[in-house]
Amino acid sequence: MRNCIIFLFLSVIPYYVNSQSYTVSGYITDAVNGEPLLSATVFDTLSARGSETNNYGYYSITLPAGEVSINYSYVGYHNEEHTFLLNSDTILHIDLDLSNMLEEVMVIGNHSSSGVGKAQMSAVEIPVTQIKNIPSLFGENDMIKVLQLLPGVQSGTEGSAGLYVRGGGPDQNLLLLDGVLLYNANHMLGFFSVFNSDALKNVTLYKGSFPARFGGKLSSVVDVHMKDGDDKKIRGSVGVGLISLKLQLEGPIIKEKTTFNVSLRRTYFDLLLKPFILANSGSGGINNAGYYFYDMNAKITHKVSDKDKLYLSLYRGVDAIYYGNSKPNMNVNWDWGNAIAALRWNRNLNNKLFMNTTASFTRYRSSLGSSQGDEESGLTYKSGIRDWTLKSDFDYKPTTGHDVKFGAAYTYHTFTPDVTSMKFQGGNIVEQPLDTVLGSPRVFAHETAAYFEDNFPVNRLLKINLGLHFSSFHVQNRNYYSLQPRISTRFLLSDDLSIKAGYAYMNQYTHMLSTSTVSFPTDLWVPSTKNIPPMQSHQYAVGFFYSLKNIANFSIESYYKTMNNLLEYKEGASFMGTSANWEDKVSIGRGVAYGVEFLAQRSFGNTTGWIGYTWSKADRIFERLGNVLNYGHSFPAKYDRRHDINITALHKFSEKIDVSASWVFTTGNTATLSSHEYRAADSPTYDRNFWDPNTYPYINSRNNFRYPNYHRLDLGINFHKDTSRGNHRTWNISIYNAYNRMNPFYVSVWEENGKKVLKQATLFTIIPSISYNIQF
Amino acid sequence: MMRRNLFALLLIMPLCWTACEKEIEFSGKIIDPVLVMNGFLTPDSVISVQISESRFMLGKMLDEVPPVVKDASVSLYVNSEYKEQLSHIGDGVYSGTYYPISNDIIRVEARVDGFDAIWGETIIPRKPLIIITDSSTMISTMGGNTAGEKEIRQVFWNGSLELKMTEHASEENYYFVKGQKYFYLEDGRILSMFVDLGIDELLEQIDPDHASFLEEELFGGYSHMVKNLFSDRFVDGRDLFFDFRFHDLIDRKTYINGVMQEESINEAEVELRVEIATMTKGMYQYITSASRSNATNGNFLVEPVPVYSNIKNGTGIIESFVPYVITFRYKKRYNADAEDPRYPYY
Repeated sequence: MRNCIIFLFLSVIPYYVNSQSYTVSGYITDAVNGEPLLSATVFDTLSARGSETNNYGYYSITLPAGEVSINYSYVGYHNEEHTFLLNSDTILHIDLDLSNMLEEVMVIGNHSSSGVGKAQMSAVEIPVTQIKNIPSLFGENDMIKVLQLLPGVQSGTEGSAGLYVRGGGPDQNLLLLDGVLLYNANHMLGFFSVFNSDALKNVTLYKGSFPARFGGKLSSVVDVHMKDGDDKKIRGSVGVGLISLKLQLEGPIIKEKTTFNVSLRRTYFDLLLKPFILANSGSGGINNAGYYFYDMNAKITHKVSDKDKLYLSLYRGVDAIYYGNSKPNMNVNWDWGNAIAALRWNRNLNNKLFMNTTASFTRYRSSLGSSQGDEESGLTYKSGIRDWTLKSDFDYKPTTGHDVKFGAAYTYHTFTPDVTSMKFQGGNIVEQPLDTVLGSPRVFAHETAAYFEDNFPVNRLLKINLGLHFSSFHVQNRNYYSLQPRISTRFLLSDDLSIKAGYAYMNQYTHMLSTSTVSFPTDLWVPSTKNIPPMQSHQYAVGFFYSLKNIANFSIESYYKTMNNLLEYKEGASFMGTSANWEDKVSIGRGVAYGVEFLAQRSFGNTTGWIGYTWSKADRIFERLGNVLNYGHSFPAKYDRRHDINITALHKFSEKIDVSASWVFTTGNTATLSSHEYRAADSPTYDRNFWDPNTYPYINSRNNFRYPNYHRLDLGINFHKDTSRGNHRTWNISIYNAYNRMNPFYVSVWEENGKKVLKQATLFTIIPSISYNIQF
Repeated sequence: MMRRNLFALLLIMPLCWTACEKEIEFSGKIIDPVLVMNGFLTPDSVISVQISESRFMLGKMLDEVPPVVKDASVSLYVNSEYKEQLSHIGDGVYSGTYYPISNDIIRVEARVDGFDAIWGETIIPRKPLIIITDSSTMISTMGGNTAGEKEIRQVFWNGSLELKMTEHASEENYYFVKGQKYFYLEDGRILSMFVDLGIDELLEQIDPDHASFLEEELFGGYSHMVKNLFSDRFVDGRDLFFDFRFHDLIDRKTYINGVMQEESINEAEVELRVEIATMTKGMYQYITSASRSNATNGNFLVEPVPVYSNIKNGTGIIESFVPYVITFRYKKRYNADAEDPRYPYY
């Protein structure tokens, strides 16, 4: 293996030896609002060499001295070409104009990350305009819901914003918001994600073949970037939907130097409910109750100099349930959510070396407080995780087509798995008073990472992205180290056809424990400890990529993934109850997942869209001594689904009207269902005069039952109009589940007419929604 | 209950726009029945287990119970040595002659034609270390309740009991506490009822599982199946002090103008048993998981909770407990016309 790597490095050296070369570098931005364009293409038509911008819109291309003709392009924008004599290093900032041409409507997945020519595979970029056009539940545009329409990505329960990528769990996704990790991606039991589409600029999903710069999660990377803000004029938008109100404002603080971008979103269901509650609280009883969530994104960008930029990114999202009773006096407040803050410094150290240094804070917490009577009696429950991170990333482009990335990061974690504090009036029966703070103690951990990633062409046909990611985790006087090789290769079979293969070894030091079928604030984030080793995965992928020019792009990928040290609650255990530490409640096991994904996508013309199909299988095995689940037998993972079809189409009739539709079909979910029952033992501990369960359900294996198949059609139509005041307004009408399919949300044994019967409950039947958005 | 309902409503309200349900056919694989063996063993009784079969539940009436097995071959092993065959004494119950003692390793095997052999094993725990620090009984009479010329005089039996239990340090121990009255009636019947010992809140403090607010609000909570169980996690090695107070209405006489009225009275002998028992971890797990299974049954928010079993090749439970029993005895007179002599004056 080592000789192989050395050979590859040596073999590329001649490729880059040029007699005299100079570098052209700079930023590519949107001409209208100054927003940096990510992954924009830079291509010298004379030498046929190209490059692209990084996540901050910065590019660098090294070309032979002499005449060059550099074409700058970005999907949806007019191309710009600059021809000049290159005889020194040159800085050239480019502003691209948005195109009005219908045929340049952007479509998912077409972009550079996973095209025929790139070494990277299993990756998809999603333009935010696309997220806003696809019909959605309650008309709430949701990035995660769009990701679920891609092959290899499964949703959780109906309407859920959970991501299950290639057989992984919802805690195995590296959700990065401006490079900072978000732990909880859900609002409202998981039916909406925390990402407010108004604040977003660009989203990239990696399902496998992970570049070495990413680490810490097993199954996917969702790299989300927020908009910097318009550097020329103040603009904004207001949106009203069925469940939420949105406001977004951006503009310059100092023109073309300092910008801001703020967006807010809040549900208003509780506010509508309030008058009814107050009207009924006259004689005591409930006087305050409701549920809401909100998001706040803020970003300030300051251009210090031509070489330096500072960014301050802030995010806070909260879900809250509150309840108050006057007689008897009782209050319950439960809130949970994320907060992040990141200060980032970009510097062009020279025209080939770009640096990004970030100091960040991220926190997820769930806090429940209840009080009774005179506040002397009550209970509080807290769970959460808090990280402080410092990291530096470097992007070095020694020659055209050769991209080297390296960096290091340090994170200080504080985990509070679950702490319950209780205060009760009255005596106790032990000799001394008991300490009333119970639960798992805080766990502190140090995580470090370093990586080196080299993306280079060996020759015209073969391109390789080779990387190494090192990480360490120090917890409870125990050190874990991991050296993770990553490789992606592309071999061109023709100009339009390539074969790619990749391998990634990943480690994960944080785990989420969940017993619920929906996302709950009771999900516990816990660390690897001296007793709980880190999760690991090995993923192998191979695929063909074909571009049928001016018609569509096709890809077919297969993957095989093994996972180790996965955690599940033991039989019957849950976050509930404090009579055992969480480490005693979990079992450690392994998993295996494999599948084939097909994607056909059209990104040209007025009609665009894609067809995705996935065949997959995902199993779990918990067989180790003391960790046995399901009698040690293999069982299907929670959202193991054999077939998954997604068809999405968008059509733009004119500048005023566009329509969209998406149809999904999946094999039914697996679930644990008892169809047998058996006699209960006669226990001496409780009074059978009052409680006499004759039988208990017999569960022969986990996830032993499969729900009926799931399918659904969503439709959407947008009406756009430019008003006389120069504003742009959009009416959106969506229909979720247009043909009213009764899809199963859960299936259970019910008692009806004295008999036990099997019933399914459907959560969302046909749901029309309307939303209004105005941009000014 | 209202609080819980409202809380659940708030959680699911936004989701219930159009939710509905319908009956569906079971399309999964129907598994074969498995053998079930149940028995809680204690030194006070001979070893006894019940053998039955599981059955497909859909379409069955709620009051139908799965069938028992009357022709099983049930073998008892004590400390890895064969002891005896257990005999069927009715309703699928098999009994032997052996009284287990603490630290015995008891293994029971059952063979039934058409099934794999099943077996379960338990180690009889130690008796709890208890000292009675104080105990007293007293009879008191309360007059009054005068309504015109009618006077009712009530006679109460009062008892008090103070105990100290020494918890074994550095061990994982599980306990239950219960009070139970047995009524020995003149007609030969024996009735029983549980007594509220008034220590629920105290047990919550030494085993906060009982006070899990989240569980109660979201997932249905613990039932009273487990409210008298506790583990020693938070009181490991400590001395625990119990102070029980009892009173019982044992007689009532009605006077009109000072003349006692003749009533048809029966008399029962009452035995009040207070038990503090050590039990195996498996027994604790069985009862708590059964409680959770019942509480979460049909709750879409939670994965189904399987009831703990230690029976190999089948299901059910063979576990054990050892009680320390304090008994009070007194006589109680009750109206012969009372429907249930346990509640004679209500």
